[in-house]
Amino acid sequence: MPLLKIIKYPDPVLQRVSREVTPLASGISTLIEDLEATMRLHGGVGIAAPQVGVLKRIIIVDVGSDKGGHGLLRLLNPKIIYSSGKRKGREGCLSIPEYRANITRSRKVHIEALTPAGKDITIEAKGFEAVVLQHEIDHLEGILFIDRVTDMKRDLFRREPV
Amino acid sequence: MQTFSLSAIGRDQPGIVAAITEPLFKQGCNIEDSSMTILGAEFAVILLMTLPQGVDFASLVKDINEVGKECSLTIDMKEVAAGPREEPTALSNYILTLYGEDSTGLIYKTACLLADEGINITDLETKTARRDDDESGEGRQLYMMMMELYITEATDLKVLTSKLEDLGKELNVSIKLKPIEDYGEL
Ligand SMILES: [Zn+2]
Repeated sequence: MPLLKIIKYPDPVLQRVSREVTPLASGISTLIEDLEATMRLHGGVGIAAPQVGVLKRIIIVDVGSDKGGHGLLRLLNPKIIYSSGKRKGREGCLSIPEYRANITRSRKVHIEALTPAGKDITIEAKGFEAVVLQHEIDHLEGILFIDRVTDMKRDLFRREPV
Repeated sequence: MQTFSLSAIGRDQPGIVAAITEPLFKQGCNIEDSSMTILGAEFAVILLMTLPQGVDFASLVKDINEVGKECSLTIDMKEVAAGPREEPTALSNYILTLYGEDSTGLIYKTACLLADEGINITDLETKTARRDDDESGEGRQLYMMMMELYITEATDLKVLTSKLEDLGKELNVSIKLKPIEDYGEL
């Protein structure tokens, strides 16, 4: 499984809108595998195809299955069809390693998507998983978490060196 | 280089930011940092600026005061110590919410408690709303306050939580303290 290179901000690719994909089309399953391997290597819990420079609507999310998570999710053409509540949490991004920000997201989301096999699925997510899904779906629209910062002084800061 | 702060408060109207910054622009002042907000119908701005060498300070003050008169703004300008404060402000890591019937001293008493614990308030927002269930005809208001806090490891959270609980009982409001979760790199 070759590892894919993470595209870093301010590469303009990160701000472009990704195209819908056809499940089972050639190259898609390899891309999904490589995306997952890349996410795992970086210790991430989510990744979107544009983060490796591929403008296709594919995301991988895995927050585990305790605390109401769904475990590994490999979603094609995901769409938020319902959202409710608000919660503020601290986010970073593999594509913008220098910054962290406190971002307000919906507490609960319902997602419609296709599985890699082309099956329709609906996912009801809350908490951490809901936040990760919103962050990754934003990537498909070319939206980065820093675009969601409404108060730079209060909510955005340079990450302390680890 | 000298750094000055300029603050202006007055009734909000279109063009107010342009009016205030025009004399600064004309004299070549550099705005280093700024923040503005609107509360009710009132506009407030505070900005820090550095003045270029050889600026005609008297005429700058005169121009700014002229704008103040035209726009009915209360303007204050004074020299401040240059540079950022020594300790950088940290990103808030807790959110405190308070709900209940409005009464005087809610902010004051909460802020005093936090100050005693050495906790930094990084953001404060309040809202009042008429109570839907109000049949008293006294126009009772539901008060909501949201504070963002920076709490260091030196604070004993158990003690803090119980003190906040006591304060909530005393003020007859509900006070909740929640950490801002860190989701990592996504
Ligand atoms: Zn990201």
